[in-house]
Amino acid sequence: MQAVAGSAAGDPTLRFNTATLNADAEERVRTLMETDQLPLAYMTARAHNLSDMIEYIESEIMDSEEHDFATIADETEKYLSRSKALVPCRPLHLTEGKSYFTQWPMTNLRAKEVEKAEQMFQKKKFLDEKQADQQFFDNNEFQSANKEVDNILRSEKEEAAKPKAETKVNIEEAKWGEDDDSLGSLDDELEAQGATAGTVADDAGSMPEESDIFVPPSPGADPYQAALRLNPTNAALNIAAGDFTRAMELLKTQLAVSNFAPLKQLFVDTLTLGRVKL
Amino acid sequence: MQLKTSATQPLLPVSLRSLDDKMAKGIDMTTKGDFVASLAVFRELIQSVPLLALGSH
Repeated sequence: MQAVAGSAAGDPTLRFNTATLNADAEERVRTLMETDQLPLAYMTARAHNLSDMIEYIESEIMDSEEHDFATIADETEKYLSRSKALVPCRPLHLTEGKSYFTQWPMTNLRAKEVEKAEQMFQKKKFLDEKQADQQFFDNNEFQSANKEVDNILRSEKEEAAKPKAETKVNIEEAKWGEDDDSLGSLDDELEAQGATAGTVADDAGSMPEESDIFVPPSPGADPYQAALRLNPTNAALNIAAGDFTRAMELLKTQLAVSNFAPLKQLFVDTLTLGRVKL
Repeated sequence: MQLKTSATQPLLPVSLRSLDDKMAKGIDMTTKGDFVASLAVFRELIQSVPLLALGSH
């Protein structure tokens, strides 16, 4: 971190902040010196007893014309008496000294990206295979090198695809009384109907269900909000919708109500009684 | 008990009918000379008025 801050030569603030966070007093003094803050650098060096730096800064201050060393020394003595060390943030301790050896839980973003890309690739591969299978079956369906066989297969397919034409009855040819079929008994008819109904029920039961998971329908519009939309400045409707703050504001502006204590029970009743289910 | 099957407003504890009832109760108590109770009823009536919601019809 310090190296990164040091590489940013044009940003002394970053260097100073990083040095403060790292409790690196020498780096702080160096940064202040490089930015021509000699009095501050001197005070910092004195506060941390950096004797080598103190001598160097003293000589620099004495050489410069814009700084008065006596004034700076007096100020330094004044502030040194109530100086306080800038201690960096204390690290979290799990147990005694354990935090220094414990890794913070970190998410490996690169690994996540790779995993996601792999999943997408697998999905695409599956879809490609499915598409290829579909094309294969489409191409091979009812195709034969022999044209006669091919024609027969095609005609069969077309016939199967055609809906069955309804049987038309020629009324002129139909004659009453020539058929020998008896009307049959009522019991037979009922049995036949029962069998048909059973078949239909079986068919309905054998229909494949789309999913076993129940998907509830999406909730409709909130009736309280709908009523409130029609009359948004009504305090009672705001309370019923649960917006007590807005209701109190409305009562305050409309009726200059300032004491809401007597209305508390009415507020609660309005909110709760509107949600009673019988 | 008669329930509404359709309404444009939610069911609120304060209605014109409930206010009428309170008014009649307060007047009845005043007539009987129970001024303390009637005062409480009238105060409750006045406090209930702001929480009334009425439709246009």
